[in-house]
Amino acid sequence: MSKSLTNSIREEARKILQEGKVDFVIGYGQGDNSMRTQPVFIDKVEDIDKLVWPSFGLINLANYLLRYRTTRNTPHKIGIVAKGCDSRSIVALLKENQIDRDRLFIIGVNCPGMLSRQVAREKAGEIVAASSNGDKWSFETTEGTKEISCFDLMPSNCVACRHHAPVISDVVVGDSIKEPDVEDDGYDSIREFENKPAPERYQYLMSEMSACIRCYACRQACPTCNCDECFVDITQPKWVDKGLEPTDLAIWQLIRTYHQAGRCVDCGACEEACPMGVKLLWLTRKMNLVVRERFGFEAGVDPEALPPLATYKKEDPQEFIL
Amino acid sequence: MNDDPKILAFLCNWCSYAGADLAGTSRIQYPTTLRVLRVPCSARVNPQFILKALQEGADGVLVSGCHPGDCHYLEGNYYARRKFATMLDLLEYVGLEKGRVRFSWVSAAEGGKFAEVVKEVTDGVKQVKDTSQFLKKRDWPSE
Ligand code: SF4
Ligand code: SF4
Repeated sequence: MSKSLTNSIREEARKILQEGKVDFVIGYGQGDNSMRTQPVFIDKVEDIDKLVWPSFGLINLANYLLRYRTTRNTPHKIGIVAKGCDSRSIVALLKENQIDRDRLFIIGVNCPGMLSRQVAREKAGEIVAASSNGDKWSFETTEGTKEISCFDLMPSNCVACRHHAPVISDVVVGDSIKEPDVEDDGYDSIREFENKPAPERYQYLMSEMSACIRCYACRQACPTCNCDECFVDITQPKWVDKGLEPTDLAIWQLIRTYHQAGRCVDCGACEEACPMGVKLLWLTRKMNLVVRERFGFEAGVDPEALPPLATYKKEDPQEFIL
Repeated sequence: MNDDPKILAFLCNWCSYAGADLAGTSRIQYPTTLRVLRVPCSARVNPQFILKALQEGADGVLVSGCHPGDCHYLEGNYYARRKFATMLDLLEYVGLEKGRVRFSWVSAAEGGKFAEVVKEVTDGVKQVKDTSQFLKKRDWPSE
């Protein structure tokens, strides 16, 4: 937990609550252990200390704005803490007319990156207790104690991040962060995967998805997975059968990914939420790459640009059409 | 190698369906591999339909609409083109064998082109090695 960011967030939140600019502030709160983060809704200045800047904070707070959607006609004025990717999701939601900008007060955070429980679990094993000391974490596991540096606990999306600074905000806290100036545009692993033979790629899809238990935690964690009725829940017609038949599992996640085209901000909340450790970013990130290469679009960056599948150009490439 | 493939074809009412009709009334020969499903517009075809077809046993899927600029609803096929490009890229990324999912523009006057398209798509689907990709396992979950 970063002290200075926590303090600045509390300070800004206190200000807007006291001035009556918002009815409540949505922020990060400490979960039930040091590796868990949960959203908190602060409506009283006395509760301000529940706001923190987390270490393992791979949740996307824009998700919780959906309870106050335009169509629900709620009167609230809402303060929200937003790191780079949360702010991009806010832009994506604004574009789709899901929320009203004038009811929001955005406390943007220059985000140095989060740590991932999934990564920790992969590298350390079954974790019983965890504590941080400076730039390292030490984990009590069933096989003894392991120390891992913070950098090695970062998820792939934070390592590849190009939007540490919020793209939309009313006030910004935290020191500005230099966007990395390196060759890898964050998609190298995707291109590497593309080069494998097709049957191997299909095999990978099926084996990753075979762990899925259809809990839909990935969908619930995502601000742009927000249909009132999801295609997997529709029973007439039944697009995807209930149950764990392998092609149903694969198709469920493929369609979810397709629905994220031009909307996914690579926040990693879905993958972090998955109780089965299913890798999801290799799909969503491919979608992001397709949208960028085909339509020159990046989700949630330009508030004016139309979502790529809600528009077209007459000269769009059509090399795949006979 | 699959000598008698089944291909589900989504043909738009205004162009490709009429093109298929013209191929028939002009007595042009082409493979009998298609099962035609008439849709109002290529934009009616939700990419989800394509996966559903593969799951239900189609060896191949063809979606055909009006040429750009000719859409009966003016711009339906432009939107469709973006959707299909996106979905096709994703499907190839996860290892769907090439040639199973195809798209074409065929106008109402192109009976000859329609026959050519069916030939080409059929040849492609015949080359597919593994049409069990995305095929639903009916006996699931018996082991
Ligand atoms: S799909 Fe996953 S990474 Fe993309 S915006 Fe949703 S939760 Fe974030
Ligand atoms: S969170 Fe994981 S297990 Fe749950 S539905 Fe998503 S992929 Fe499946």
